[in-house]
Amino acid sequence: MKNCFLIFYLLLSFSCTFNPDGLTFVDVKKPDSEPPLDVTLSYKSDSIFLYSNTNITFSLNMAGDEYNAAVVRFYDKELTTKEKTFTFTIEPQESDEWTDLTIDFYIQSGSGSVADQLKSEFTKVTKTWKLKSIDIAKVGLHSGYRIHKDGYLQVYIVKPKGASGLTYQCSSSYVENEKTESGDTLFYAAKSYLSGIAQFNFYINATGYIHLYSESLIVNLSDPKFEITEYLGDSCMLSCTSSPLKCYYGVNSKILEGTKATWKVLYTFDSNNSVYISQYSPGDFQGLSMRRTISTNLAPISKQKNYLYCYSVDKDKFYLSTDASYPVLLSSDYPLPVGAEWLSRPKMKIACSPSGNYFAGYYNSKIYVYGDNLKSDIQIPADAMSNSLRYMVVTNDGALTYQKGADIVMKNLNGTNWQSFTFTSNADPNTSILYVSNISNSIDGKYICVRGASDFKIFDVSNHTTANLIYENASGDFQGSLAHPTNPALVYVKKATSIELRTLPAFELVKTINLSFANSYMHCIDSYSNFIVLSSGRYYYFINAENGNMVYKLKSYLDLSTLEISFNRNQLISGSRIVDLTNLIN
Amino acid sequence: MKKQIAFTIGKLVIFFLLVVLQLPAQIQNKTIVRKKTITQAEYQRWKKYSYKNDVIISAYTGFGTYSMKGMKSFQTNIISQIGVDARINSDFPPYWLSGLAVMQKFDNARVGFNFGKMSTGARSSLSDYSGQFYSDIVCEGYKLGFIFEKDIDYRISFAKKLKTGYRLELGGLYSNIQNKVYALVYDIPNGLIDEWLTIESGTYYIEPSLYVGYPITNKTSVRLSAGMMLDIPIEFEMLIDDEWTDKRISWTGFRLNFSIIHQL
Repeated sequence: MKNCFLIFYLLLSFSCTFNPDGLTFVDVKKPDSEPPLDVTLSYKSDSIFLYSNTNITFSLNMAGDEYNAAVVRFYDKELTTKEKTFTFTIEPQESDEWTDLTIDFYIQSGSGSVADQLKSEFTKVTKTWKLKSIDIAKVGLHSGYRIHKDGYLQVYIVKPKGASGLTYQCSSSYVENEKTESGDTLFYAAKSYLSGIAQFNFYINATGYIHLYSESLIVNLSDPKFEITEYLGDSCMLSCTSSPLKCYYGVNSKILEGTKATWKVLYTFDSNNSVYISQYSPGDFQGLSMRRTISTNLAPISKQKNYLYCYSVDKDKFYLSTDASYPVLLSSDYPLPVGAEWLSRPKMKIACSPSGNYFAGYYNSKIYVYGDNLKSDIQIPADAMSNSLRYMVVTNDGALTYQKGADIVMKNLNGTNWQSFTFTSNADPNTSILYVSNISNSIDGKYICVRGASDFKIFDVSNHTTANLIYENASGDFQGSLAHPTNPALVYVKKATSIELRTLPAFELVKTINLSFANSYMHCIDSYSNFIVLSSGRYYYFINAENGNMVYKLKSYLDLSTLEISFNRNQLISGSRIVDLTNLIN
Repeated sequence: MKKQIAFTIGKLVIFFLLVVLQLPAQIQNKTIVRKKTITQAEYQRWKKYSYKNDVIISAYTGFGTYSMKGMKSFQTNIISQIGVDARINSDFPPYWLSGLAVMQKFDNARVGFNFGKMSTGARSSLSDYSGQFYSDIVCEGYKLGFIFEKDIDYRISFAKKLKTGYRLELGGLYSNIQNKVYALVYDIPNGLIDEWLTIESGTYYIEPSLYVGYPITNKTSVRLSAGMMLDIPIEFEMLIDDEWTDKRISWTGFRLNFSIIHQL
């Protein structure tokens, strides 16, 4: 009975343990399509070039929790991630063969099945890219330079094909931080570069400033050619040619407008004839950091001569005196010779008649008379005066006239019956005070016009024995006179703002030339061009005697009021300088 | 907690040895036989006040309902955390129970010990073309309690032999809860989940009941009893949505037992 109890109890004990059973089956449709997948790789191209350890990031654009994992495979590596955005590093291999980068994305099916709910039912979507390792030291880098459309230098490198994760640097004192990118080309602006040899070093670094490669580029643009051409007396033509860059330029303190590769400007002097050209690179202009300066003291428009001269209107010839100790004249056609040799030697003041028949020179109280052979065979004693006497005229009648104090002395050169004639005029005895054209002779030698301290007188000296006053004006209106170079019966007289052509001896007004400037002095008249030369301040004025027009204006850096100036055959001559104005006037 | 359970079980064993098995009395009888010096009057007096050797063994089986309210939410939380939309197949239903009691008879009352086992459980499952999943919870309760029962002098007229009474049981309750989560994904070689979670704990209970017995022989009878078990729920914590949440295991419920009782 006891055993029966025990068996009964054991059976009950084992049988009364709850045993769950039953399995609910749900008919779920199995998914049969691959879900669309939007994967973005940080490397834009399907072909990936590895130049260094390259970080590549894939981003899976998928909302929701369907994404489970991704397995990245390249070379012999396999990486698994559950992140939607994952960065991995690929190390380049020695082999340059193409290989695959594959990423298997495991996407939850979303079917609602048990496996799906347990996140164990996935659809595998595989994306593939191509990989290739490249040794940049073997393939090199393409670099160069160009001129930007704004005119400055740009150096550039073409990024290695498909390179990613590399940093590029250009080292040069000309290059600032400005960098532009166009396609695969990186441009560095070298705005401070002007010309000459410049070295640009390009560096390629991998992530972490690991140096991969460097290359140098030498740029050697030719220097711009500056040309300073004296153009007018008060200005010069400045030009710059052959510069491939468009730079800013300054002339003296004035900045030319805009950038230019070549330019040509007419520059008018300010206070002197010194010109300096500043070249500013396009990038430095704002800071006015001058990089190049070309300065010059402009050679005067005049050229140096080593002689004194006289000019025969009728023969259209110049006669030169080069050495006072060698009293021989040289005849010269146009153009006059120029040069600086023997400049220091004393010269003989010479004069010739407009007809070219009589020549005379003065040196050390002697008058040298030259024959047709231009040699001085005759010497006439004369008054002791400065060898640089201003007023010495030979007229067509063979009379030599010069001033000695308030006296005017005439000496006969043609050997006729009179030898010397002196009369006292109203001329200022102090010859250092110049009243321009204070004394002028008609070319026939019959009349002498004298502008004294305030009055104006005309003497008739036609007989060479007496000086008869035929006209006098004490008003001071007439400031000076010039004998007509070809017509002995005419004389130009200067008034404050006009020039009058009057007759001799009647002194009747023929015509009036009005002047547009005041405070001027009348210097001379050129029979060849028929231009009257006046000066005012630092300017020469050339007035056409025919129509009264001002033909030309020439600036001098000297005070012209004290200069003895002559103008023959377009040759403006003053002291040891000569200016050929032929081209300018034409 | 385990110490308390061990201490309680220890006390019950001592009580069982001293009171139910009457070891001191047996030792005393042997002493009497050996000495043979006791007088008849003394023997009668001893017999009057000593325990009779009426030991009763009772084996029973039955059916019980179990509250398991906390475990129902535990089941829901488990599958919710796994994230599978499993369907409930069973949810702690009423289930068989069994037990064994040893009692000492005192006239029309009996005291003794009862050892019983209860069980229930739950299953949530789901299966389809891709795999299968289920979460099973199997609860086993083992109780060891002191019994006091007494016949009621009430006879049913048409069944004079039927004996009615009441019974009160107090004791300790040990619970073993096993949760098994199993998942199999057919397409994935390693797509298998097979996890076990076991919760063990103890508490106290009280179970009053009424019974009706019928004697089969002089020493054997059968009994049908009905009662209600009340226990102090066992508490444990479960991490739900990052928060520890209290859960309770309670075997409280109605009991209906069928017993075979045999007097030794």
